[in-house]
Amino acid sequence: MRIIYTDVLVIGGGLAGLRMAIAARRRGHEAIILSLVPAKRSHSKAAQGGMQASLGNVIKGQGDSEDVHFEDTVRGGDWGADQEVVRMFVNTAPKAVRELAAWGVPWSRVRKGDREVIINGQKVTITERDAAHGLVAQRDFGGTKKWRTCYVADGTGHAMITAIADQAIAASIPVHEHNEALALIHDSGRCYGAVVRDLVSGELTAYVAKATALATGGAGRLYRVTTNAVICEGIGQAIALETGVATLGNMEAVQFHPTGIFPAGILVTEGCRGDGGLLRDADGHRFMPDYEPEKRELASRDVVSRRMEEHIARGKGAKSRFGDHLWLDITLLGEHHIRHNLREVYEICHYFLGVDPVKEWIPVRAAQHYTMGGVRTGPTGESPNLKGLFAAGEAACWDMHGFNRLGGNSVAETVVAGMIVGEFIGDFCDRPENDINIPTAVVHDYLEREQARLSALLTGRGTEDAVALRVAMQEIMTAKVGIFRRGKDLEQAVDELQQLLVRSRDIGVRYRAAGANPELVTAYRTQRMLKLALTVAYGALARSESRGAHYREDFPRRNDAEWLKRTLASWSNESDTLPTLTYEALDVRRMELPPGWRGYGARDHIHHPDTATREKEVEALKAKLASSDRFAVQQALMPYEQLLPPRLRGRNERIDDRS
Amino acid sequence: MKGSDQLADVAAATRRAPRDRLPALLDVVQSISGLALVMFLGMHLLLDAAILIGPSAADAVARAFEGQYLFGTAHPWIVSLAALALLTLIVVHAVLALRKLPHSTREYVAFRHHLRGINHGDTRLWWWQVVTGMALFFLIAPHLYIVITQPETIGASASAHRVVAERAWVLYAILLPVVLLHAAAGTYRMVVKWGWPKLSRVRLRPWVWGIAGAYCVLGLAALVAYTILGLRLTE
Amino acid sequence: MTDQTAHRKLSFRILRYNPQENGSTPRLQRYELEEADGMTLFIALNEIREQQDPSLQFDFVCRAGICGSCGMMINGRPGLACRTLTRNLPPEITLAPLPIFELIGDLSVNTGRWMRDLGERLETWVHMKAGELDLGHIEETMDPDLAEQIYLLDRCIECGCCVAACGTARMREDFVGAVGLSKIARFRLDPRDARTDADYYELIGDDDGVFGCMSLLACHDVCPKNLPLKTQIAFLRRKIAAVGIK
Repeated sequence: MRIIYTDVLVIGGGLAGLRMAIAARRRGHEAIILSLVPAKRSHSKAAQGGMQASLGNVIKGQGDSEDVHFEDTVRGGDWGADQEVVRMFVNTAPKAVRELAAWGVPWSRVRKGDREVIINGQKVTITERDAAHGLVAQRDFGGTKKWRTCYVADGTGHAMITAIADQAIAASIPVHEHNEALALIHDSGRCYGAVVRDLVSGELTAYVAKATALATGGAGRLYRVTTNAVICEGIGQAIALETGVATLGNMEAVQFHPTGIFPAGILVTEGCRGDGGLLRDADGHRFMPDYEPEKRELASRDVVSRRMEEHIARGKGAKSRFGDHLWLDITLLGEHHIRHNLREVYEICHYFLGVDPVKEWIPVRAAQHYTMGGVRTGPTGESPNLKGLFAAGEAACWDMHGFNRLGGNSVAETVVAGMIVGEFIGDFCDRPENDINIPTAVVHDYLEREQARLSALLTGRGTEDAVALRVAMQEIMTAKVGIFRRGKDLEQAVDELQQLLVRSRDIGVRYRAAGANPELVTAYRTQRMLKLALTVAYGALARSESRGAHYREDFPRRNDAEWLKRTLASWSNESDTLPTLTYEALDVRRMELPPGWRGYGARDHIHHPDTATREKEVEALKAKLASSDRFAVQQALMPYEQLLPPRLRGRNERIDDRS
Repeated sequence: MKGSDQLADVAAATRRAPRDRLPALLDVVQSISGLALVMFLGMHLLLDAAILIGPSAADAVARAFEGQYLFGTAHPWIVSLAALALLTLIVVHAVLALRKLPHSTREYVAFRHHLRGINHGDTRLWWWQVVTGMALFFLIAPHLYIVITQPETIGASASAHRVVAERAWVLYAILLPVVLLHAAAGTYRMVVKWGWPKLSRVRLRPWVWGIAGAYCVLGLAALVAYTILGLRLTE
Repeated sequence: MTDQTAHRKLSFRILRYNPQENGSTPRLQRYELEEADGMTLFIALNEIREQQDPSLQFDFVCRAGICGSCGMMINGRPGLACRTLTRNLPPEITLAPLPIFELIGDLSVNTGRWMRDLGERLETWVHMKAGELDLGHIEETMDPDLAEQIYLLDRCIECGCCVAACGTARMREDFVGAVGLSKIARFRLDPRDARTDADYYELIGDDDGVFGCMSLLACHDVCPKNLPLKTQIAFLRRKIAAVGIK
C-alpha cells in the first residue's frame, strides 16, 4: 500500500476537474487528477448545444447582460438557487468563454449581414451587425430571454474539453487514468485526500492532499433511461456522503431532458429546438403551443418534459414496440444547417436509428439528464462541514441551478466553477495552517478498511447479484422517482430501495480476481449508488411541494412558505438504511430577485411571508437609484463581488459598450 | 484577469535546434525519382512500340538515341551512359524506398498480420508495390546489363534475335506487368501523398489503371511483334 | 428499427487475454447471443458480461459515438463498438482489441496514455502569442468559415482507430499516426497559435512524422468522424516539405 502526497487532489477529469487543476497549478500548487477514463473521454464531452454567457454578440442577444442571465437562471431554478452564487456565475461566464476562445476553442462565429433562421416554426430573416462579425455567436436555448448560448456547432463540450485537457497537458498536470476513489480520507472535520483503487492492477493507494476536489459529474445511472454516460454513477457524491460529515444538497432535484432519442436515451441537443425544431405528437400536431403559448418548445426543460409526458398520458404518443414516444422535427431547418450546425445529431440519428433527420422526424422521449443536487458547498466551493473538501460542476450543489437547470448552464458551470473554485483552492493551499498534518497511521487505517471491504466482496460468501440489484434500483427510480412523483410511490420507492440496500451488503462476485475486475467494480459501486438513490427518493418524499424538476402530483404547487429551503442529506452511520435529512432555509430578505412567477409553467405558488416585504424593498431601491447605472442598482440590491476571487472580478465588455 | 498564460509555451519557443533538412529532402527525392522513372518508362514503352510500325521505325529510334542524327554517326556508348544514369536513378529511388519496408521480422510479421486483418485495398496495393519493387531489383538488372554492355545490339533485328533466340521474351513478359504495376501503384500513391492533382481516389483509380492497362497492351503488342520478327529471323 | 423477423443467433469470437493475470494466454473465446432489435455491440457486450462472463473487459463511456472509448477491431477493422449495429454485421462477429496500444485486458486498451504521450510530444495545445490575456475585453475576432474549418479537424475523438488501421504505425511504434498529423494540421490552421511551419517541422518533419506516412489511407477510410485525413496529411506534407527543402 502506497501513499502519494500532493497539494491538490482532483477527483474527476472532466471540464470542472481539469479547470480546477489548471487554476491550482497556475497558483503554484502541485495537482494530480484522478480519472476513471482518459480525461478527454469524460462526460463533459457529451455537452452538445452550448454554454451560456451573456456576450450579446448576435442581434437576438442584443441587450443581454449579466442581469438578464441572472434572472433567467433564478427563474429557471424556480427560486431554489443561491442567488449570490448565480451572480458570481453570470459575471464569470463571459470571461470563461473568452478564456476558452484564447485557448483554442473554435467557437462558432457571427457572420455579418442577413441570415435566415427559424423562429416559432417560421422562416425569419435577421441581420447581424458589422461590429459583431467574427465574434463568438450565440443560439437560442430554453428558458432564456435572449440568445445567449455560445456554441461550437453541436460539439461544444467536445471542443471545450479538448482545449482544456490540452492546456492541462501544457501545464504538465498528471492525470492518473483508470483510477477510482473509493473513500475520502478525513479526520476531525478535515479532508485529506482519498483511498484510490487502480482499476487495472487492483492496487490501493492513498493520495494525501491539502485540498481534495470532487468533480465527478452526475448520477444519471441511478435511472434506467438516462442521457448520461455509463460512468455517471454518482460515486463522487456517494463517497462524500459516506464520510458521514459532508452533506449532499437537493438530491431530489433531478432533471429530465425532453429529447433523449427513443428508446436508447442518447441525447439530442436542446439546440435542435433552440434553432427552430418542433415537437410533434402521433398525429403530427405541434402540441407545445397548446400548453405553453409563450415559450412553446423553449420553456425550461422541466416544463417541456412534463408537458410531453402529460401529452403522452392523453394518448397522443406515437406507438412503438418499445412504448410510446413523441417526435422531434428538425426537417424545417434544412440540410445545410443540420449537416453543419447539428452534425452530431445527424450522426447519432444515422448510426443509432437509421433515421435521416434532414427528411425524417426523430423519435424522442424525456430521459434523466442532470443532477442538480450534489455535494453541498459554499460559494468558495468548499464543503461547509468538511474542511479541505471542495466540489465543482455537476457533482456539487454550489447551488446556481436550484431545482431546475437551464440548458447551456451546466457546461458553463463546469468551467466557471472550475475557475472560481480553483482560485479558492489556491488560497486554501497558500495558508500554512492547511498543511498536511495527518498521521500516516490514520491513512493506513483507511487503506486497510477499504482493503477489507474489497476482500469481503472477493472472498465472502455473499449471494446477492449486483447487476440484479442495480437493475431493480434503476427500475424503481425510473418508475417512482421520475418526472411525476406521488407520495405513495415515493414511500414504496424508499422502502424498496432500503431493502435493496440491505441486500447489497450481501453481494457476492463470481469472478474473484483482485486486479481488473468489472464485476467487482459493479458490486462496490452498486452499494454506494443505492445510498445515493435513497437520498434522492427520501428527499423527494419529504418535499411536499412541486418546485422546478421536482413535481409532486399530490402537491402540485410550489410552496415558498414552507419549502423555500435546501434539502441536506447526510449518512450518519454505516448501518443506517436512510439518510438523515436537514434543511437550510433560503433568505428571501437577501434575494435580489424575490420569488415570483417563472414566466412559463404553473402560476399558482404559495408565497413566502417575506416575499411581499422584499419585493417592496427591491422596488424602493430601484426607484431610488433610477438614475444610476445597472451595476449600482445591483450592488445595492445584493452585493456579491466580494465573494469572487480578485482575479475574476470586473465588468465584461460588449460591443454595445464600444459604440 | 491578468494571468501568466504561457507556462510551457515560452520554453517551446526557445529550444530550437538547427533544423535537420534531410528527412524532407529524402521524401521529396523519393517522389521525384519515382516520377522521373515513371516518365522514362512511359516514353520507353512508347518508343518500343515503334516496332509496331515496322523494323525500320524501330531502327530509326535506336539510331536516334545513339546520336546518329546529331553527330552523323551512331555512338552506342551514349546509350550506355544514359542507361548508367538511369541505373543511378533507380538505385537512389530503391534505396530511399527501402526505408519504408519492414526492417525486421517483427515489423514484417506485424505488417503481414495487419494486411490480412484490415482487408483494405490501398494497404494491399502498397504491399504489391513493395513486392513488385523487390522483383524489379532482379528483373531490371539483366535488362540494364545488356543495355549498358551491348548498346550496339539494340535495334529491330538484334533485339528480335535477343527476344527469341536468347529467350529474353521470358524476362520481358514478366518485367512488363511488374514494372507497370509498380509504376501505377507508385503514381497513384504519389498523387494521394501530395494531394495533387486534386482528385478523389475514386476518380483517380480509373485514370491510373486505365493508363497502365493501355501501356500493358501496347508493350505486349510490341513484344509479340519482336517475337514474330525474331521467329522469322531464325527461320 | 422494428423488424419483426425472427432474431438471429449471433456468434461472437472475442480475443481474451489478461496480461495482469499469471498464466493467461491470448485465446479466442466464443459466446452465443440472440440478437435484439436495434442491438449495438455496446448492448451485446454488456449482455454477455452480465449473463455469461463477468470477467470480460471492455470500455464504453458515452455509448453515443462521441467519446472514443470503445474503439476495437470488429471483424478485422477498427471501429467504434457503441455505434456498430449488429444487424450490419454477419452472424459471426470477431472482436479483438486495437493493436499498437498497450493492452489492459481483453478488448480494453490504454489509448489514453498513448494520446497523452502524443499530446506532450507534439505539444498539441494552442501556443498563445506573447502578452497577457485580459478576460474583461471582447474576444479576438475570427472568420466564421475558418472557425468551422478548425472545428472540422478538432472533431477528432482520439479513439485510436486511425492508428490501429495504419500500416506504418503497425511497423514503427514511434509514428505519430493520422491523429498526430491531423492535430498539427488543426493548430497550423489556427491563427491563435503562434507557431510557424518551421516549428511544426521540428515536431513532425521526419520519418516518425509526416514523412513516415506511406499514404495507405486506411486511417481516412476508418475514421469514425470522417475527418478529411487524406487531404490534410497531403497538405501538411507539402507545407512541411517546403520548409525542409527551402
